[in-house]
Amino acid sequence: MLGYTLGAVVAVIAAVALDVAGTRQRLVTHGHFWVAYAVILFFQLVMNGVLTGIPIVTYDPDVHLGLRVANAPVEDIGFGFGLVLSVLTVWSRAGAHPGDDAAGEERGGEP
Amino acid sequence: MGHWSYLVVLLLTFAAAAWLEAWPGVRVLRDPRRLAIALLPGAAFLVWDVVVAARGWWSFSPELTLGPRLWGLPLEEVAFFVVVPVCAILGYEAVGATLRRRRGGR
Repeated sequence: MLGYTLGAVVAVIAAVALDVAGTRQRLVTHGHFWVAYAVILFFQLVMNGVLTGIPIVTYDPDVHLGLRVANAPVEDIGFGFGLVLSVLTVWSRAGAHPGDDAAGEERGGEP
Repeated sequence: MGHWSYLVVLLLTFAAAAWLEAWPGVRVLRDPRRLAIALLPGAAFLVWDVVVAARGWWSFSPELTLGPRLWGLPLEEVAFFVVVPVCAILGYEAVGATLRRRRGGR
């Protein structure tokens, strides 16, 4: 039973739904998000490699596909993406001014 | 290696991103209310983490964590859901500030 795999798929879908429909921030349509995600993914792979390589965390091989990236199950990339996107979506929404729809992108550094 | 291992990994991860707070235009740690709201999705992932650990889908080394557990997880694993989101937001804001400067010529 690939429960861990199913969880990763749900995490990705739920985060995209929250971003696109739930909050209408639509970070996934902006290059800003993807540039940042590329940087974050690199560090995530380093951290995953350390946590599973030492190993601080050990996985039951029966609940995931068995495909590993940087030591960790490939599913962890899905969970990481879901966590990062949902957090950044809510961060972006929380910084929106009243009346804004897609907010934040152009404003961050202004006084 | 030892009981401090996971804590050291978390501290190094935080250190790798924390300096971005000094990046011009980045204000993450100085906006604690907005930051607290942004940590809320992490709670859902934490609940999933508790369920997965309880089912034995993964386990944490007692030798490489400090010892105290919360909902069956090492305290470091709970802290993971604060540290990683904060680092992600710092990275996102630093990229945003850089893109704005390049576009606006400032």
